[in-house]
Amino acid sequence: MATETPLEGDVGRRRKQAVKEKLLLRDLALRHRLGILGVGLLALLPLLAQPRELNQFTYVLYLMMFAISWDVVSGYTGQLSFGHAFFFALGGYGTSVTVNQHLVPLLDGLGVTLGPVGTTVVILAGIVGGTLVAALGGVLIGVPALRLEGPYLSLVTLIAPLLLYQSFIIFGEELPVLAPNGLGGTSGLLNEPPSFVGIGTNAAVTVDQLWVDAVARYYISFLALLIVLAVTYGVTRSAAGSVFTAIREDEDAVQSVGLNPAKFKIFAFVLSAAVGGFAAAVWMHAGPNAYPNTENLFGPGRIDLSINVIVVAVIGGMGTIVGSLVGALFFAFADSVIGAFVPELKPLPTFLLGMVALTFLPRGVVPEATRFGRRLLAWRRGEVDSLVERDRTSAAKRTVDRYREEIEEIIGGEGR
Amino acid sequence: MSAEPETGARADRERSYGPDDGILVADDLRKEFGGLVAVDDLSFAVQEQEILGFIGPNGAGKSTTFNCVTGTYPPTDGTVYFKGEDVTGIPAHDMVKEGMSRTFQEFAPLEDRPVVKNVELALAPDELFTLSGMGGETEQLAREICRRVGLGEVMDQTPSELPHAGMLKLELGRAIATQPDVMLVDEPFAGLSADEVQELTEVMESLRQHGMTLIVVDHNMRGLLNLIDRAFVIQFGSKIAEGTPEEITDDPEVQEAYLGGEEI
Repeated sequence: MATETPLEGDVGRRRKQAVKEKLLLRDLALRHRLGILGVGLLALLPLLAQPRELNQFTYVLYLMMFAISWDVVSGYTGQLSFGHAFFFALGGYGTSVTVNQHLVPLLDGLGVTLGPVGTTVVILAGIVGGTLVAALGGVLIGVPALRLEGPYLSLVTLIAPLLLYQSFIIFGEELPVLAPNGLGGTSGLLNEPPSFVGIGTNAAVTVDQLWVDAVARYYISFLALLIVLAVTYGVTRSAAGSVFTAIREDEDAVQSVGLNPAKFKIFAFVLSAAVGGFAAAVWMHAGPNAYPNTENLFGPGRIDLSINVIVVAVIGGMGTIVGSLVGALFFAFADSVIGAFVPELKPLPTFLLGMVALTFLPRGVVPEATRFGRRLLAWRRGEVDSLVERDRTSAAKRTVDRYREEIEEIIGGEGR
Repeated sequence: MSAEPETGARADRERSYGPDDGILVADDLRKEFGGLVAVDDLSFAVQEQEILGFIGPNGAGKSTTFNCVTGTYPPTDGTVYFKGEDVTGIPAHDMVKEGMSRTFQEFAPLEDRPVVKNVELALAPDELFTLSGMGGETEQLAREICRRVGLGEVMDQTPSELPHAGMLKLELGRAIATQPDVMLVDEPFAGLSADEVQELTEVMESLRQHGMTLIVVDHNMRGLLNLIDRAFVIQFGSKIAEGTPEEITDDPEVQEAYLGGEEI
């Protein structure tokens, strides 16, 4: 057809060029410079911390990844998930079972003795396996999400990890074919999967000093965080990210411009699940306290971890990805500092922090800081404040508004 | 289906169209909701680079017809051909990809982002992994489209700040951004001033000059006379007249249909 549009010419080539130029990091906005500085500081942290503190902080890196996982689907597409630990558990158990119940017995049966390289390869295969199992879980939740409206879907996500928890007990002794030695019931898998680096024999690389162990674990976890950041940042900053947020706003509008909302919705779930599963899988081989048990992967009360990641993402700012990093820092601060004085109140300070953030910083720390920074810069340039930043409603507010509408529809409130 | 012999009951219906009778062809299109027949064996063909007025009183079945054509819901019976292919009942988003887009009467802009980003969404490829949107490339295109439809001054505002005419232009911009070959425009002139009608007419005329085919749906021909080449009038889901705007306004059956209501 002869229709002329501005999209003509070699668009693909121009796009690649534009992305390359961005990757050269020449004209960075201030907030991006600060972000890179922040990640740089994270990388330097082991220089400052004692091994024990460092181990505590390594866990925060996993919290960041878990919150990013939640943000991809709930912060962007507005499909609130209340049970993201479902995916974490699938990833964590997935890699442990793959390595200890499938790969290691198989290689033993073949009479292969694993050196450091061999063990590393087995661990990596396990992580891939765990990630795939979690991604499959993403399909399992994503498909009903096509038919279920917000609150109903949230119920499904709330129940899914509880069912999984129960199935760990039912198949505690043996799950035919998939997990020949069983899933360990409430106490989890006692047979720990091998670590990348560790003290003792169950590791690819054996070290003898505590601080080397801690630093190595930190950097492997940090590498995983960088991978997660790169993947999720890439997807959400591309056109796919704006399709995600458009789904949160209005699926019909998405459909009317030739985009298949079902495809993007399932993708959001699968990506989120894969990221969460990957993080949990790496944790089992590189994290501190890396035991594949229900307390680690679901949280002490079966749903604690699912709620924690929501608090983290909301504090930092929903629908931003980087907000999860900042949110996790605040969360860890509240958890360790305030929790240290009155340990009996343990979950309270963190949940309180979430409440405070929702009330006074509903956009989250990162978007608020960005807004404040822009105003400050504009003020320094002598511009009129109101011209600079139009108040755009935040992801959290849009999601909550949608949710309220849907609940009002269900219960027949004034919304009709 | 066109091979079906003419029965007495159907003797008076329109001749059947084949896939190659136009860029967009509806053949014996029928839509029933329960027992209610909203579209009654309607057949029409739209030629390439034509601007067709699709006219009918309120409730005549215009919207239903085009909801069937664009895949919002499947027709009960009949066939839709687009560019010579049978596209009956394919999903709406696939129809857009085939090259047919539409504007909506009831606007549903994305309120969380500025006008230009609304248009930019329509430029997003239906792909999960894409470089699109990362280099500011699509934003430039979206800005160009905004300027072309007359939103140049307001494209950084949010849709809620736009006046009525601005919303119509935004709908038009979004539809254009999907690179359609055929564009269906639903009641573009409702509630517009004469100047605004003139401005939109010029935009649509220029789109046609660039090779686009347009179907303008409206309940009367006021404002359409300078724009359309041909009008197609329906009532109760069936065609009652077809011809140039002048022929239509003089048609007794059309005048009958509008008696007691609005003028054609």
